[in-house]
Amino acid sequence: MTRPTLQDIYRARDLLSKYMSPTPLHHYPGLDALIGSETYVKHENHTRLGAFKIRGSLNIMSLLSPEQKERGVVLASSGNFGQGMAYAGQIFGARVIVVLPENPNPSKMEAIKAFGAEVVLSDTVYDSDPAAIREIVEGRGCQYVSDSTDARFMAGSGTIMLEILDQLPDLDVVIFPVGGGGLASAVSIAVKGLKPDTEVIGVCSAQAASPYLSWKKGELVDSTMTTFAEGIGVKVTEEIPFRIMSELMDDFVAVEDDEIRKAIVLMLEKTHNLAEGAGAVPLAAALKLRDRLKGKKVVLIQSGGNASLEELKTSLGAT
Amino acid sequence: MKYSTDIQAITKAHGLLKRYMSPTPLHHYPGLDALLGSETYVKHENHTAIGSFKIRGGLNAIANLSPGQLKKGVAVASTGNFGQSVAYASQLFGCHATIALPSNPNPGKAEAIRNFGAELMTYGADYDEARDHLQTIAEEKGYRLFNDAEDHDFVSGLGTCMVEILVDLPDAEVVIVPIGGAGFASSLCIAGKAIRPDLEIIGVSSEASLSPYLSWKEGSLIESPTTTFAEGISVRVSFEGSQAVIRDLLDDYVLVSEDDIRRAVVQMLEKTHNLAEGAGAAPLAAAQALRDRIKGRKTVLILSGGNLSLTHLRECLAL
Repeated sequence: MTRPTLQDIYRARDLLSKYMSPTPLHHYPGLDALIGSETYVKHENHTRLGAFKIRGSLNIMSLLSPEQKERGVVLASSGNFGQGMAYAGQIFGARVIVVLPENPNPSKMEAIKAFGAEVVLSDTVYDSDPAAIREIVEGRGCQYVSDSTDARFMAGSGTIMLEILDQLPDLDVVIFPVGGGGLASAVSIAVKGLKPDTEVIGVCSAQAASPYLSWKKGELVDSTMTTFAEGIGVKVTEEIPFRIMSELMDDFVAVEDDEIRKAIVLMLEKTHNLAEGAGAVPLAAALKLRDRLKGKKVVLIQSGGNASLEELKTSLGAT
Repeated sequence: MKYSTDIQAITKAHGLLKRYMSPTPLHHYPGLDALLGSETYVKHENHTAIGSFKIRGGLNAIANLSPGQLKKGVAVASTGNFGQSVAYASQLFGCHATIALPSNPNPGKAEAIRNFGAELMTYGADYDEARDHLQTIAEEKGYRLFNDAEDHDFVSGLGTCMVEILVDLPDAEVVIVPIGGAGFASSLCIAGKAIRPDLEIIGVSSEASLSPYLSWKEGSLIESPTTTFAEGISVRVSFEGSQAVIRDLLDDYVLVSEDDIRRAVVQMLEKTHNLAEGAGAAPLAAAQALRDRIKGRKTVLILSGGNLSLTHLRECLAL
């Protein structure tokens, strides 16, 4: 299985309903005034862990055999995925090893450890085939899981779109952040399967443009990564999400880090929600696409709110 | 009925509200545990559609109108959250709402009320004049006039917050609530003590808005000037009906300084990634003053609302 089916996504929703409530989809007239669209925010920042990755993590864990749980899973994560898997591992009683970059966000690392997961630090996490992970898979028999390519993770993430369609069946456009592409793939599969005329727009940082460049060029392109938005900080794009995005995504926008910072502040001002960089990129893109979105029902997926105080202060200082 | 509401009315409201809003999350935050020494939960009233607990009152008040009254419309003289909650609920039920404000209202608030489709009426120099004028119009046109804080259906809706807390965390030990007009606190106390008589309920107010605290302490309504930035708990004089309830049922009451509240706004952002308005952060400020008493206990902080302006946020961060 390289990509989830709608059935996988529905099955994931059934599973998730035991562990979390649907997140709110709120309408913000304050954003309407700014963008000209009828604007809704899907609040993945309201989950137990403040980010959408809890969904795919719970779904992966629920599908492991008892032996697999005992041997454990290993993953590379900028934070939210690691936290999600650590949390899910605690619930399902599975061993979890998280490989983080050598200079990780301290509060995220703390949270991962608090859920009982083991943390390994290595900057190889940004490579396409991280050496640190290979060693753990080979040495300890752990299963490698990825939030970019794992169909179980995507099925869990796709439940976001089922919830949106429950509440707003006549939406016109959905805009979401793209990093590894797991969320993008999941949302695209769900919405194109259920309401194909919905416009599906992905957004990444111009300071981590590999998925954007790959999508535009029609082949995998690596790029530099200097964005502060660690949730979408990638250097390489994987084959599986690349194919799904190429097939299903209607458009792709790259926004500058400065625009992301402005969007963080606007999100605070107009919705009173803290967004991390990745969570704010859909708003940054919507502001750019104003003419195209006018009068349409637009959903911005606020993928997470785990910004540090320093990040927030920098954003406030920049505007 | 001894008070303005009782547990029957609150549980009825709880059943009714489920149709119009999801229960708000009650999340556990290990980061707050480390700060306070308690097992700390936050009740996220900032996650509602209007970012405040008052939506519960507005929904219950409008949902209980007769079809005839729904057709005629409602009227309320209130700025901020109360007016917004009635406007929001009225829009949901297709009911005409007139909101009266004094002349030259705060443009942001006026805009928020118009955004919810309510008719804005400005009159007079202050709220008393606006209210008197509105009363005349309401009688003329047959509008149902709501009074802030003491209306039976409104207050009954507010208590549903406590029912949700005790459904999610049946063995909660301490709940800390912000107190201004005391309508919210009174309804929470009635629900809390009916369901769990041994539950400790502690109120918190700002040193810069002393009326509710002094009235509770002295046993009679005491007027006091208010200068707090925390609008949600800013009152010149508390309400007698609600005061009578908290005098009987509230276990304790603490005061916190304006800077304590500002620091709590920042800590809430840092540890939970949620924006709290002053009133919503006051329970966290109180919990720090009560550290010895809540040590090791399951403690719920009611984050009553998140509608903090950027200007106030910057002030909090500057400390």
